[in-house]
Amino acid sequence: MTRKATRKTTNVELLNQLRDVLGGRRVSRGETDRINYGRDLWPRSLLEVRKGQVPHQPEMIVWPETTEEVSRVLRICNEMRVPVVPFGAGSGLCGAAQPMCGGVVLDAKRMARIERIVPETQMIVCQTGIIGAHLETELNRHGLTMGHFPGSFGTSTLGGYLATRSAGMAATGYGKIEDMLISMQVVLADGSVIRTRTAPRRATGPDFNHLFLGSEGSLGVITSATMRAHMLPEARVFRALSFKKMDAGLNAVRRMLRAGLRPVIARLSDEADTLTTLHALGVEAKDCVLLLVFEGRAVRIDLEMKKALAITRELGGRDFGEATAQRWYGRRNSEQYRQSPLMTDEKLLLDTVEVSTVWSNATHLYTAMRKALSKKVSVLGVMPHAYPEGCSLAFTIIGRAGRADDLAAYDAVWKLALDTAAQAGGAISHAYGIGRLKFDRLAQQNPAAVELLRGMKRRLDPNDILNPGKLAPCTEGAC
Amino acid sequence: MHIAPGQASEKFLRAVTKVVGSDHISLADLDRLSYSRDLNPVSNLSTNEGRFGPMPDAVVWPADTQQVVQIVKLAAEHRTPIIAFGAGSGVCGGTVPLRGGIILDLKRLNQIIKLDEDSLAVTAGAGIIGQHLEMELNRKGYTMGHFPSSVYSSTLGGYLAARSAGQLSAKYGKIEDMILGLEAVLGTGEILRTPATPRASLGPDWNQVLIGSEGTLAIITEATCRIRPYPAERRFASFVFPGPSEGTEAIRQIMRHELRPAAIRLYDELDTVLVGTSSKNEESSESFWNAIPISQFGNFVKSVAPGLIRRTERFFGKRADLINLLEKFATKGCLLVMTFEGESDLVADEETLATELCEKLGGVNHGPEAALRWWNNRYHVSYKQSKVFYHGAIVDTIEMATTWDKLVPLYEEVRKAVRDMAFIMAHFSHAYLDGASVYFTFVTAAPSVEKAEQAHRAVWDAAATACQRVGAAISHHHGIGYTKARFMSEEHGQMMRVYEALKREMDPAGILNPGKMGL
Repeated sequence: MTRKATRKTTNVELLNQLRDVLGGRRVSRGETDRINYGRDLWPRSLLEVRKGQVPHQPEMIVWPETTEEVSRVLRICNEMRVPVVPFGAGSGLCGAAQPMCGGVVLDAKRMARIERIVPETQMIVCQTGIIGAHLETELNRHGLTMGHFPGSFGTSTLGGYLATRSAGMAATGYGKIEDMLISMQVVLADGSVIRTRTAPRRATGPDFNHLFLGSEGSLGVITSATMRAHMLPEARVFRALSFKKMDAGLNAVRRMLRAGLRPVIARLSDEADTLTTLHALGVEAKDCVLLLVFEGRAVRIDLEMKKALAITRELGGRDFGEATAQRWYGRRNSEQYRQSPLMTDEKLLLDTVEVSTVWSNATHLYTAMRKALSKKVSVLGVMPHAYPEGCSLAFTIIGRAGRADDLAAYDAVWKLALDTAAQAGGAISHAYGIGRLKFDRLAQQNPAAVELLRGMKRRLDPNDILNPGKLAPCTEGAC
Repeated sequence: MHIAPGQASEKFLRAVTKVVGSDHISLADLDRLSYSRDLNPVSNLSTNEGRFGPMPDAVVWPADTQQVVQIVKLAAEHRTPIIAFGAGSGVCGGTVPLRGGIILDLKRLNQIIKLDEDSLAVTAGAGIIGQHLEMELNRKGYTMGHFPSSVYSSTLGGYLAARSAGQLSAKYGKIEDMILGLEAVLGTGEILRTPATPRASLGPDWNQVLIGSEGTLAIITEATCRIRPYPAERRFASFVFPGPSEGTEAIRQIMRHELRPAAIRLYDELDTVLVGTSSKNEESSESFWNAIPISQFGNFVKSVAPGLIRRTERFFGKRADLINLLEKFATKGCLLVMTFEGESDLVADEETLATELCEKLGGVNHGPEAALRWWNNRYHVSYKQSKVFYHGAIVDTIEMATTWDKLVPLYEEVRKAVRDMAFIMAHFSHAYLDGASVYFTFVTAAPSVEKAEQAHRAVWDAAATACQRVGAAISHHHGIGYTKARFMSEEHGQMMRVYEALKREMDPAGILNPGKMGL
């Protein structure tokens, strides 16, 4: 018996039960809603849309407002064996929020309440459906910042960040989402509500936050989180520099971090990205451009910038000054919106492959990826996040589309990308997550880790209702 | 003394011998006895009294990960417990073989496998002693920055398994911040390897699930850790604040301004006596532990017994001789010591602002000396404390962590709960953006092992109740083992379900360090 068959017979009952919990207006099975919630921003889905297809539509969309409501929804769905896909703002790029097996999409956006801001402990407690930009605005009013600025800042939620292990543009300075999380509340498949406890640190067993961080909705629904914030910086300094070769730029950033400097942003474009992305954003420079931003106390950041510039000079960096970098900074969040004409051009498709590695392997990984991908698509390379031990590398790939074999071609490019990354010693995702896009490669690369994840999935969600078909694939034949 | 033979089957032990060779397994009484305990205070005391708890059936020294795999598979097949063992310096009974089985001493897995200088990463076997790893790194111009006071007698694997934090955690982070990738053997014999990358978004982070699991989920065999260039300069600063509230406020401000002192430690009034703020002459630079003749310490502590004192002030009133002794070293107030290290201009900037903040908040600048003295004696206190056990007393430490708004209340509540039962003092030794840890040392009379055990348990129960009432973590960096296992359900609530699921998934036969962590 397949799941679909089960669901058809129970559809009305499911609707009635969900309406009992949420009222009529917070449950929808309207066609427009079902189409809209049938995908996230995975470019492969866009290819399907262009062909007039949204192959995986949910049966219903629900908008709970409290943890208690999420719990009741899950209890109902668990009893009726109906898939539930947690959904933030749908800006994921790997298909993680696609309702593969139909069922119910649980949109968290009405759970956007800020429960508490404690300025002296630099903590904020809030529901996870809050949009990143809203959360940041609220913190700013208290003189705080979370420091989490993904490109999707205006169209992504806190829950989405946690569930996918997001990292923002300023990750080099403020850390990644896991560094900002203190504790969280999670609803398990059977509706039980569990939580990790708030403390700056504890040595009392495993860090359970890290089981749910990155679990992409497959182990539980994260409904509330306590996050760390920083004081708003008193000043900010910028610089644009350029290097003849990517290698020199990577080396410069590596040496800065090694010396204990903490730029909030150290973003290095390769020649192709400089000529396209950066030029479009008003950065008039050439070769491999490094954009540096320091923020914090004026005295400190002047000192750090001075030291950073000494390093770049030593490595042959050319100074393009402050204004160039400032212009980029002012427009940084419009990058993706500026790319959107490409997305509506049916003859083209744009996507991003982002990987990570240690410094000693960074040039090798960059070269291998660029070389392999360039055979099939246009490639713009960036080193967007740096850490003292290594960095991430992101490749914007632009390929031709509009042909009958689009999907197969898309899959082939991605297979090449992930195979190349893995062979060149890279981790196959730095911050975008796994979703449907990278699961097979992950399973191939680290079968023991995937087996563990599946095992935990079976234990915490024995009926496989939470985001089935993703990190832990559907039971055979279930959908 | 007679030690009963172990329960492990002949067949199992023969098979294990075949894996490691007869030189690397021991069934000798002396070895079994030595490995039956760690440094938890109750074991310490019972050993002194010639009494022993549960014994391992055998001690095994595997040479590499493959041998660990084979042994784990055999143990799973024979349902024999395996307790992974580093250097045995844990203080919560984490390696005590409660249900027999074999102690798997990992100290032969002590190689430095790879030093990647460009990436500031070192890969080493889990059995390497912290100080050996650090010395090797120092020789090449690096530091790991991980300095627990047990650094001479603890291993990398132990740090990971117990979620250790070193004295310079404010700058270098705790052990979980230093890990890029791990290799571990699950209870099935399966090897789990996590990618050694600075960051990835590949589902749950198994590193962080295994770190702190104290051998209950897997045996960590190898790790790739972050390292840092050996600092070009080190600076020291000390301030005296009127009380813990002012002192902790200074620490909060320093963290809030994103300064990264390497060490930042605030001692309460009593602990300040112990550390000493002055270095003007040799005599007064001696610490409290030195100042009180150890032979008298038993008497000192006996007089702290319940009934004799209600509060420390009264205690001092009744023992004028001791007060006098203390007053000689006492200053009014709480001592804050800080160290800064790194490139000299960066360090100078941090010290300048930290000084400014401290002075603004009422701290009196005592110059570098007290901090330097702390630095020079930073590993000594544990060794000094051990003598207490020979003199009719038991000493233990309680380290908790909470957010800034609850920190002083936690400090006060725990002291209030404990002070009728024991002499207690505290320092605040690890600071974060959102809170800090508080580290209590308590000493109480131990006329017999039974009485000591009762007193120890009573103090811990009272402290744990206060901890829960305020809302804090029951352990900041010592771990749980079995001595604190009874607090785990309160600590994690329903989340224990998840731990239990992890346990069943990773160790279906239940052989890995059974009876620990409240599982």
